[in-house]
Amino acid sequence: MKSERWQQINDLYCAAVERDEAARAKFLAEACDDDFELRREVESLLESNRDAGEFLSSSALDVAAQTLATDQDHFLIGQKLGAYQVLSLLGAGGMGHIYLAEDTRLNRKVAIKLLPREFTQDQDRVRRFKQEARAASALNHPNILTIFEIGEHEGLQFIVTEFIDGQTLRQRFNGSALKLTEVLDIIIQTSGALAAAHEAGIVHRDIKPENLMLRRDGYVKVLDFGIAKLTEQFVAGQTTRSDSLPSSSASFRTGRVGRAGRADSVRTDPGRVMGTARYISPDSLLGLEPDGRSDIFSLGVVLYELVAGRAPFEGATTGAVLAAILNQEPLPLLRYSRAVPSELERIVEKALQKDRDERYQVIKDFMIDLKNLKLELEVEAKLRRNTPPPVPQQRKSKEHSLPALHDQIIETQTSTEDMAESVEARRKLEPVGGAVPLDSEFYIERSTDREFHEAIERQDSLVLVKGARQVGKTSLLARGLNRARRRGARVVLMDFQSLSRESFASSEKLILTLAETLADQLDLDVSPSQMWNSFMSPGINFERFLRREVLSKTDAPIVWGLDEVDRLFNCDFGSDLFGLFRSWHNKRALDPEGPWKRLTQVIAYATEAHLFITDLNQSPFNVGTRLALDDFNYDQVAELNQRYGAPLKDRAELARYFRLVGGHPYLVRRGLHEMTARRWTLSRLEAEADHDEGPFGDHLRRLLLSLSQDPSLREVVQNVLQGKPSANTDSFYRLRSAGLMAGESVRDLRPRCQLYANYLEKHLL
Amino acid sequence: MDAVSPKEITGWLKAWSNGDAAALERLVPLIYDELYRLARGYMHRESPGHPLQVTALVNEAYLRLANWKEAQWENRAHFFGVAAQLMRRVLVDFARRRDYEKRGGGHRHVQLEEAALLPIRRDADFVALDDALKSLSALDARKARIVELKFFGGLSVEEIAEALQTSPRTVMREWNLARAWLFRELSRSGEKIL
Repeated sequence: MKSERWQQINDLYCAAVERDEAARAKFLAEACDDDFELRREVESLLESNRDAGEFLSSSALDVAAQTLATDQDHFLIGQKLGAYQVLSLLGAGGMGHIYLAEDTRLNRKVAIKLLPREFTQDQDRVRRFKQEARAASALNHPNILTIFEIGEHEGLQFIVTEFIDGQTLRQRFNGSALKLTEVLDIIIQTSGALAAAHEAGIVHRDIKPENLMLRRDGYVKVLDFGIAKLTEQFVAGQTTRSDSLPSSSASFRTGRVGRAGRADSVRTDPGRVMGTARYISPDSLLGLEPDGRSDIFSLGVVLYELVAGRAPFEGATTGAVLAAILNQEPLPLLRYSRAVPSELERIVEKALQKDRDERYQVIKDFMIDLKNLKLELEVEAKLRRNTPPPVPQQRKSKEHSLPALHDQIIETQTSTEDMAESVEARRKLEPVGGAVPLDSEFYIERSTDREFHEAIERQDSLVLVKGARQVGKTSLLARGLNRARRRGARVVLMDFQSLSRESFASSEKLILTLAETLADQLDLDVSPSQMWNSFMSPGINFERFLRREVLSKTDAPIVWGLDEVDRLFNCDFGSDLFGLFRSWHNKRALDPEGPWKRLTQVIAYATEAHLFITDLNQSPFNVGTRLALDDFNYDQVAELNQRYGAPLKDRAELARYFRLVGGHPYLVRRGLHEMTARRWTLSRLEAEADHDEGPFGDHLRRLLLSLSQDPSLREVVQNVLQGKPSANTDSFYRLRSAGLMAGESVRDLRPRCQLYANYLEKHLL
Repeated sequence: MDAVSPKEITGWLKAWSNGDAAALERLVPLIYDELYRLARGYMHRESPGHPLQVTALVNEAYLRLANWKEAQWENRAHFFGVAAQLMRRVLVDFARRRDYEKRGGGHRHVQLEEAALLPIRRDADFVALDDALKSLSALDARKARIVELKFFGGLSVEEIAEALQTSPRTVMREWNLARAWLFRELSRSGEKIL
């Protein structure tokens, strides 16, 4: 712009700005005449002047200092903290800012976390925190962030840790969706870290995505062990109102809240408070001292969130979130993704139990379940790669073909190849040790299958499936119910393992729970408790309800599956319930055309509990159609080998494998998976499968555990292993029912398979 | 650092104004220190009822940093001019570095939030302001100078008038236009990017 022109603008502007608004337009119109450009320029500057507000009203240094102080970001950058030269800001969180620094003595990069001052006033608390942080660090676990130093400089408390080149799980998660196997891997690694800590008596207390770092090489590092201890003292009464937080930071548990609790309300940030609230366990909320199970809950929340894309307990306010944690059941994961394996659903549900006695009791169990699931997924993915995809018609003909899967995990995947792979992996998922999905290609039918389906078709009143652990009872039950449903029956399924502990408080409570569940699954309008008559026994009440509200109101057969019923064996009033079931069976015999003819109860239970039922006459059922589920025979193992793509090359290998694991359904499948995944070869399985670290370690350990509870049985087993049979009829049946031993007679008693023999010899002799 | 006397500081300031680049390197850490001290005081103030005296602290720091009476300057205006320039240089560089680091060390990418968010709140704004001030200087060097003295130098209108040997009223008028012009410039660049 020409300086003459600028001078013109300048003069006009200065003259106009001193006039009031009304006079300006006239003045400018006259002064500019037909120079519209000039007029527009001056008017635009006048407009800017009007809009400029406080622009440039305080001095630059003042502004800079305030900026610095408000974001706090860089106030250490360029400074030295002892031997550490602070280089840059890595991240900021409620529990302080984290800087990248260089240890000038060792010339290595470290991360420095500065603890906010409000949490370091209480010396005693700081001391306890240090103690815990050091203890956690001393575990020297690959998944626990190593702490180098806890230092102090000019009154600032800071923690020096190893520098992790990566991002937090939160950042990763916000970036793009994770594949299910990735999710499992992250949670498994975290569980490993927590398991080590819990064993050392250290509870993390603040597990959340912000505290899990993902290194570029895939390692998970758990941060901030014990740091929540700095800010603890959670008062239950104060947890329900986020908008009126106590002003003293010490009275609230989380760092964020503590910070928000400062009276300058500008800094209150409910979003951040909620960020932490979502992961708090009900136990902590109720004021119980957090223990390992509290961490399990929090990690369960993380797992749920990673799969569902949203937290299990949500609400518009922190209070609502906390209330949900205490009172609400999370939506099943299936709601978010049809591809969620049922086993994952079960695991998450168990981790998120409100009552910590109902949760996984130790994180190791949680981890083992996840590991099995992950392995299964990986094997499936590999199988997919190696076998041509089935033609669509085939799939349609399957019992339970899933429609095209639309879930956010899948939709957000970038690579189409990955997408196909993970869809397939989940579609075909069969967690080892859990039920085999209905559409699985790896389900092997046994002769019992046919008998079972026939019994349901005949509408027998009581159909019993029993067998050792992991022999396939639930899978069979699911198939029976599915068939019945397709034939027009109304189907109900109750898994006794999933019933809460309170349900088992009394016979009355249990019966009411069963009735309520029945009403719920059949979508009845009436609630059993409404028609419960306190003058009558719960059994009679249940029977009346069943007859009047269920059986008399439908023409369709009712097939009622009850799984894991062995849970009743340890319960005082189990026999009450069995008696009730028997009486219904008898009623039907007396009145074949009455309403009871429509009821078929299908009951599955593990006979492992027989180990502890010393009097076999107590055996719960002596009526009904009884089916014992047995191991696979050789041909069935061969068939399964084929379906896995024949990891065992020939009959000789098959025979060797059969000798090792027998027809034990779980062992057979698991081993085939391992070999398909090329983790294990047959020879190595033969040599090392009995090691605790091997694929069967957990399964085998459980054998010992059961045996350790009965010294006399243990002795029988020892004798058998040494070739001097000493079993009597009782111990013979008990050991066989438990799936520990096999044999047709007392004299024939022997370990169920070579693997069992090897393992038991190693540990009992 | 504490051992540095105002006299030394003034000496460096003078050296810098005479083209000694090394003198700036000695001054910058002092100004940063002051900034950090102020910021820390701001952050760790104990009770919210206690009014924050950032402005007072800044002024104090500024005077301590470079007490014009301690040195032999041609005149006050000379001193103010040099000090304001120094502040501008230091603060803009500081902001540029912070901005750079915040963006993970990436390329400089000045971005303004909406114009309404001004007065200069973010580091990016400092950098953008500096650019705009350069443009203004090409158009009207005196107005740019006034902005430098007032905003970066923290001088009052009267002090600026004295330094520029003109009337406060003129300074006020020029400041008014300069501010409007800069604001428009920044709003425009903001629009362009947003």
